[in-house]
Amino acid sequence: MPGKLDVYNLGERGVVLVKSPVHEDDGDLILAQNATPDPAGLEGGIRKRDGMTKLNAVAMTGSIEGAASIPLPAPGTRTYYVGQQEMSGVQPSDTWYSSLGGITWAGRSTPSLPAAIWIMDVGGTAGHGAAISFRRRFFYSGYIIVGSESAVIRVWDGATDTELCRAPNAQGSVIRTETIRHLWMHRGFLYAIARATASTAILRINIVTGSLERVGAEFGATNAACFGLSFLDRVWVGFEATNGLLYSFRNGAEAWVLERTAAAATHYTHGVNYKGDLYVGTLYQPGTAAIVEKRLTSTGAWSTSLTGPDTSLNLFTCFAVFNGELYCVYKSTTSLLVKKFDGSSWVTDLDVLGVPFVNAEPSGVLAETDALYIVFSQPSPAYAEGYVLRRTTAGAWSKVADPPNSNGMIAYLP
Amino acid sequence: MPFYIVKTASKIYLLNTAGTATELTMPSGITVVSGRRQRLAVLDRQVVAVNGTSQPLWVDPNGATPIMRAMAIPTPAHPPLLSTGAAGGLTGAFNARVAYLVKNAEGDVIAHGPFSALSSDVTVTAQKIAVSNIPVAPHAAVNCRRLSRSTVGPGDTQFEWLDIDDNTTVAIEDDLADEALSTLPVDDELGMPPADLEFIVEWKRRLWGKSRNSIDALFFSGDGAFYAWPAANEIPIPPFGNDTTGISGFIRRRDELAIGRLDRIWKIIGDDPDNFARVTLVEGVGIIGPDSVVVEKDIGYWLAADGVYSWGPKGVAPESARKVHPWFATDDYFNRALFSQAVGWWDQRFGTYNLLLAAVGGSTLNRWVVWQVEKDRWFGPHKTDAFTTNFAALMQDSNANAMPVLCATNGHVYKLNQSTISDDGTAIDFDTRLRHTGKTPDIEKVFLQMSLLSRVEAGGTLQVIPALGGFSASTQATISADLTRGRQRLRHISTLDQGVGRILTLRFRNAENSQAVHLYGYEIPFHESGRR
Repeated sequence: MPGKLDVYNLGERGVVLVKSPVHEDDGDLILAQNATPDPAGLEGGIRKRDGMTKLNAVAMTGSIEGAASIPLPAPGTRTYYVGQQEMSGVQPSDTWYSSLGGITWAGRSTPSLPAAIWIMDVGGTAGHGAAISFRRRFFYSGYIIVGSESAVIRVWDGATDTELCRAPNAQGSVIRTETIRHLWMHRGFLYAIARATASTAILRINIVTGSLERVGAEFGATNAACFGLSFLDRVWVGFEATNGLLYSFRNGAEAWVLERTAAAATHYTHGVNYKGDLYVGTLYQPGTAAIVEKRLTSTGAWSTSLTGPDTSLNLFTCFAVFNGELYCVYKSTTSLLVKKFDGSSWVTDLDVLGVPFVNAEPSGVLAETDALYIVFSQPSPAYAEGYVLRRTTAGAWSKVADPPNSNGMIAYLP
Repeated sequence: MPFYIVKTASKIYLLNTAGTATELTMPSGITVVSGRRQRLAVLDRQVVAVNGTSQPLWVDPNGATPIMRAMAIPTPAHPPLLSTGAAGGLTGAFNARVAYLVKNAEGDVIAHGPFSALSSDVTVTAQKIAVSNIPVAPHAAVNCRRLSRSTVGPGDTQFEWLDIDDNTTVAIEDDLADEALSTLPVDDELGMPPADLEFIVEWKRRLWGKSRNSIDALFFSGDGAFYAWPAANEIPIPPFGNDTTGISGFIRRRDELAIGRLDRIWKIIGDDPDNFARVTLVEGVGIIGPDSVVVEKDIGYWLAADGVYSWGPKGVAPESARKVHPWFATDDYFNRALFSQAVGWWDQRFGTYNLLLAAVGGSTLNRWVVWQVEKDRWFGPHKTDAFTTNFAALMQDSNANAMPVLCATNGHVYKLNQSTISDDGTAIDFDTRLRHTGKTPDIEKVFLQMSLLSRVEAGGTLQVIPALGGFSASTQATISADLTRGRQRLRHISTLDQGVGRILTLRFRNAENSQAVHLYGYEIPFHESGRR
């Protein structure tokens, strides 16, 4: 008697091993090595499975014993940004200089600023802008060049540039905040020095919502804040005034505490926590050498850690801890030195003018794991252009960028 | 864009989606342990890696390069010493404690060790409190010490007092008034993580782990705090001491966490330490392969001693017993001694649970089987001749799409589901055996010309290997089918040598490199020749 096998359901039931040979059904497989159905395209038959390709061309050392995908943004080489500023009423087309990895820099027009916002107003009373990197974005300050609006803080994430908030006007006044002088982080909040023509306010900003509140009372006309930092779980702010002043504000407190009054005709310019003690720089008018002051945490006592070599208009600024040592820049009319402190003695790490580079304004500093960056800005069109110096952990200094209109801001992504 | 952390026998690497591997620097005093699987969990952007190193690691991925640190922030060995300081604003008796912290560059606390013992009391009169003998952490990551103190009395409650943002200062004076102390008491949900963690999983914003030092206990961390493991956060998982494995794996579902032993499974329910409770999920079924556990769409799949099981809203169900029970219940297919090493992963493209196993007699994980869940059909055991497999995982590619991979003893990670039909240059051995067929198994038949239908390929030859006879018929001469034809009539199955048979078994095979095979079906006419 004739018959015919018509089998068009190959593998429809997959491998079945629980039936005797006489009870198996069409569509049962005994073995399906490297065979698979194809629900993505050709359901009904079976096919050879897809292949494999190496993910890593270069083998890792040893047999792989575990692997996991981390659903977080991948760490990677950072892109550094140095802000540019307007000169003689013209905002440069390259609003920033940037570099992937910090070695090779080039001008870039992104983040491009909306009309009427400049990073800085050299011709006015704004002073330097500020920038800080935080949570894979960076925040920077901008200056509104028209109208009566106050300074703005913007956010750049590498793709989108948005406004986070605008500083309020001076207390009880229509006087606008002209500039954000410094940005820093404390307890997860962004802090900003907001300076108007006759007052300074310290702002605490929620970076998620952009809401802001003033910290303590506003400072008056004779107190213009220069820098802030987080130290001993408090906010510290240094001022330029008739005398340099250093205030602190403890979380939950109601008023600023005056921590230090500098000698006459002195400004506090910048500072940093190094090995648990606070180091702050000063600016002295002609006739007195600037100093680096140290506050010993164990006793609260102040002492002079370093005295500058000149007595012209001179200052210490751009403090940073890099590779376990404290760095700062000393500038006078005739000197431009990078000083280094290992906890016991100060040395000159670089004579910038001896390299030679021009005597530009030390305005920004960034300490990374592999390199230290110091940004020198052009204070006004009458001065030479700024530049960026980079120091490796091995001690080699190099000029890596010549941003023509550097304003001293430096930040990175991600 | 995600990234991968890969542990080899001697190193730990960061691997990016482009395949560039960067060795990560091990913290001082911690070494990679060869032969141990690395297990990871992510909690609040911090990654914890256990089992693969001599101590659990905390990998902070938020910098330019990930930094690996010891997970355990130690308890200070001694409290600070309090004494009277300079003139200040405090009067009364006080005491204090200290803890080690790690803050990020923005000042956020990202790790907080336990507080020290309480200091001796000090009584001051219009003075500052002088704090000395502040312990220095033997942990490279610590960059802050947090002092807490009582209110005047001394009160029984400790409040945040002062953060010393370094790991060097050993003395400080302060006279912060009581009312200026932190409003809330210090966090007491702290504690060092168990040493030698073998398993780790994140569930309900906590980490849950099993330590080799206490195999019958389940430990869990504080809320959102990978570093904080209060001593009270321990749930015993009985029966105690009845085997040397103890807890053998976790299954993390949305609202329940299953804790497996070899012969039973418990589950944890609840939301916080006040109402976490242990209840029986199933007895007689356990978890034998901790890395076989996969949870997809809130259903857990894993390998137990006698096969694959699932646990979903309908309870625990055996899944492999219906069709491939012999794979797991006999010694004919796989080396069951290595079931504890089995690795499972989910393949989103095909909706399959995949399980890496060792072939019978093998000592490496050189086979894998595939269960297409929705259609309840199994395929495999698969193999590759390109490398020796040692691990598998489900990764995400640069677009965050699922990307299953096999990991090899040669240090390479291989992406599955590639269109190459080649295992990185090595042929894939397609080998399929069909059912015993013949419709009437007691009737001798003459099988005529076979007609094979397949997808038209650019080249290639399919080997058709018939076996004709009874239940144990031997194979006949191989028939070659041209895969470029689409439909091809092949020679008679019955030959002069092997003319008739009751049952026909067909085997299809192709081991040509880069050669696709798509089979749609076949037809074989036959004549019954009678019963012998």
